Amino acid sequence: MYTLKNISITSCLLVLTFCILSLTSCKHEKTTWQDDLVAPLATGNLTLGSLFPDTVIKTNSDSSLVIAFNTNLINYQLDSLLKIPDTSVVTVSTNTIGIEIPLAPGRQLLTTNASTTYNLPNGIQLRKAIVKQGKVRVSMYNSTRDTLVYLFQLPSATKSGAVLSQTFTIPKSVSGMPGKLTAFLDLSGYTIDFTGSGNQVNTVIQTGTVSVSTIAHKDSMDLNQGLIDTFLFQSIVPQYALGYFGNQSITVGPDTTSFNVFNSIKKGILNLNSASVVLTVNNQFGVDMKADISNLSSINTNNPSVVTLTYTGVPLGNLQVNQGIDHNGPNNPVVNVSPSTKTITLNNNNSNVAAFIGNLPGRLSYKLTAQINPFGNISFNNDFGYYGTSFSANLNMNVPLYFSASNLMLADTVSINLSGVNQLQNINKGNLILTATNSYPFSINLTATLLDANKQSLGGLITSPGLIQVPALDANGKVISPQQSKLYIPLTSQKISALQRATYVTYTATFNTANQPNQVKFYSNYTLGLLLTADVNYTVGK
Amino acid sequence: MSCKRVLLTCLLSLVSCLVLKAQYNNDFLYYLKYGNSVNLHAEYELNSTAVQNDLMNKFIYGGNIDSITKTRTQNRLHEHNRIGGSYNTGATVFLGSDKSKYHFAAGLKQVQMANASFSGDAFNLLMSGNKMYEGKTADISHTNINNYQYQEMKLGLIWDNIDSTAKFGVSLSYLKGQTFDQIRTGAASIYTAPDASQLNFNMNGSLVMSDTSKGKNNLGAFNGNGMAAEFFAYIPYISKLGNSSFFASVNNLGFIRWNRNTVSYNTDTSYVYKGVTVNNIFQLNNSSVQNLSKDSLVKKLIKHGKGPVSSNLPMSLFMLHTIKFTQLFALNTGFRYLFDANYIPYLYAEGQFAVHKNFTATAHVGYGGYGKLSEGLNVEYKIKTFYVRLGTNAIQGYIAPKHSLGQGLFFSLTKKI
Repeated sequence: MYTLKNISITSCLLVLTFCILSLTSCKHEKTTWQDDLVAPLATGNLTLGSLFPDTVIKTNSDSSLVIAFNTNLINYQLDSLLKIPDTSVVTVSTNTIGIEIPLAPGRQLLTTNASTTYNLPNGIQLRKAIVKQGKVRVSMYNSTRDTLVYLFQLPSATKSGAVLSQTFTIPKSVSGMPGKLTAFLDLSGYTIDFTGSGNQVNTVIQTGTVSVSTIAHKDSMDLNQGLIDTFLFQSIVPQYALGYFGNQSITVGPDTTSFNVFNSIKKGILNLNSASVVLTVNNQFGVDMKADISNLSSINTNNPSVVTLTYTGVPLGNLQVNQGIDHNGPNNPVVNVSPSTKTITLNNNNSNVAAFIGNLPGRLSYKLTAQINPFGNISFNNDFGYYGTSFSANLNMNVPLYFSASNLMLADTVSINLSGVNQLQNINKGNLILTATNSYPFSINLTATLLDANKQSLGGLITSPGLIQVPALDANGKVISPQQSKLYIPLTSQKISALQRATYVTYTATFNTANQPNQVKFYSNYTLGLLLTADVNYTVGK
Repeated sequence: MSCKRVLLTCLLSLVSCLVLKAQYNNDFLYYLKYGNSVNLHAEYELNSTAVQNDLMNKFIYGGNIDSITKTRTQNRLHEHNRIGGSYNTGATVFLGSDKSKYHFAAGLKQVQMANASFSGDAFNLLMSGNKMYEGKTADISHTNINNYQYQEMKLGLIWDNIDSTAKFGVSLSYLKGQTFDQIRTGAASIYTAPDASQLNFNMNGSLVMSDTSKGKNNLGAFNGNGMAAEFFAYIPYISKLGNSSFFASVNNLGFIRWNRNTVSYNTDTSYVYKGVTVNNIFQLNNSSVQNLSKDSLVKKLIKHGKGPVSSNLPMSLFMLHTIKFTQLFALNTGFRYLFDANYIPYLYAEGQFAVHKNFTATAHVGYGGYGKLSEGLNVEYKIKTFYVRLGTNAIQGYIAPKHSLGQGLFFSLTKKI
């Protein structure tokens, strides 16, 4: 039998056993250690496309570069040229003979056949139109004591050979209040013949037949009772129009259009060696035009300054543009138009176009005045226009990359979210290192600042000076060999904390070309290679 | 999970679970010593050819491993290094009539074994990072890490008095698999460019991990089934030097079939990593930053799949020769080898001193295994029918942890019945 002493000894031994069993449970804290890690994070190249977005960079035979870009200055569409106002016609079908007319169910009462000539503005004389969109609104008032049936037809409007036709049932009048009905007929796709009964213009024919409903009671129609209907052409947009578009004057502007090529450049001076701009005017309408393009200015919106285009010997003020050629014609009115084109070249010899572009415009201003059919109706009502065609002016620019740049600054604010990158908290110290291998003939001074959600500064990111150095040039202004620079982003605990709190990074990149004020040429073999690496002391096991 | 994390997990498991000899995970030794008895036992052993005790202790007890601690281990690194150990706890009972030739054994045991062979570069990469390899190639070829954790239920039969005095025993065990991790690399290296502009991975290797959804240290995780057998033979004889005996055993002869949720990763590729490509540095956005994560790199390098996997257990061969010179002194010499476990033969000698009729002390010296030279000491005290045994075969780990390799403890409480 066990004694108390035996039990006590056994208990002690069991406790000791459990102590050993739980030896591995003695871990009070995590095991950690520090690693020195280096690794590439990102590689990339700074291309001239980053400086000049939305451009095409072309290479000359001597490997020098040219940036080319297009922008639309003016685009005057058919629906501006040919505005068809909403126009209504009232038809009255009432008892005017002074005696009661018996109303028997199904009896035909009246028929109408009328042509209506519209008075269109600016002397426009339409012969034919195809409706892209628009409708006819028909409003009917029945003052008889029986329900009437009204067959409305517009013989001038056909679609696939069928006349626009619709039958309406108009309720009878009650207690002297006429019965009313309003309906809309879709005109989309209808061809409207505006020649009326023959050689007319702006004229359409409509017919109507009024009958007593077959379910009506016998009654009679008193004096002045009957049907009054009003139909209205509403919101007509032509797909195609044929006729004479009038001897009208149009004015567009003064106005401005956006110019995106230098959007990313916030300030600085770009001194271009030369530039060439080809102004191309296209007339896709079947009308002659005499145009005057004026008020051409480049507007730097970031650092307000305006450079007005000046020129000599260039006929911008008296542009005679003939009508376009419709290869299909009115019997097959599908767009197949060759525009009439005028081109005008502006260069260093006849204008200040280099300064105009070097102003780094964000917008271009312009004004267009034009006389339509300056010589009258010489087409004999055969002017034409298609929806989607226009009278337009485009600028095609070619700028040799031969310039000097002084403090040319790119800047932007981009959003970041590193709050979920937990590994950052394990970094004790170190750097992110941006290694730049630059063969462009410019230096870049980089700055970056972390911002919180309210865009308040959380401190700089890059150790000052963040300078990507310019390589040495030879006597011909060519880069001899690439220049390597290292920029450091120190990862202190404060910086890491700021990085994780940051919502935005705002950065600037300031470019300065070498050998200023001399201009330097850019060649196709120039590159700027960028390598971002990490060199950090990192705690493992945290 | 990244390679580094797996490596880390395995090494953490390896170190925090401890290993080694003690009673050499050999239950039949209790029978030979005490006969019919109930035994509670626990043992751990951990040793290495390079990793010092102060660094191991950080993995056992936690804390930050400073550069001085790392340097002490780094000074011991060779081209090929080993680390390994085991941690076993359990209860065994031996029953049978004194008049019978047959006795029976039954036992329950919790087993964890972990071992690794690794290059010096692999250790440096893991513990110090790759900055020291700028412009160099770190060779991590032939890295092998194994980690097993399972529970064992044993039934055995002992045949006494074969040929009058010899004994023979056999047992069969059912194994419930809890955790299995295995990393093996063939030719593998990582080159770090001088300016860190690129990392060249040359990877040929595999990683197997049992289901971790229930946690690696969850005793209830049922991730595999297995069987194991154990044999022993004991032959006493009389020599000129005194009563002698020879004991030989084979244990852990078996396998575990890990279930279909076991994950396997394989890679056999060369890959140059230069970071993510940013086409426009002025449009660096969040997606670019996300691409910088190390997981995206791992996905590029490694293919993975799920399915059942079988693993052999590290079989143990153990031999012990004892000469009892006098009633007061006996000499044990032994040999142990673990197959497929990054182990080299362990040879040892022990002097056993019967200091008192109830108290025995044993001094131990050995070489090999997962480490190098080890010294130990254990004592046994008898209280009526209880025997308490406590000792270590690597006492240096507790005397000079900053300057020694290896540590271990074993403890048993036996009730003779």
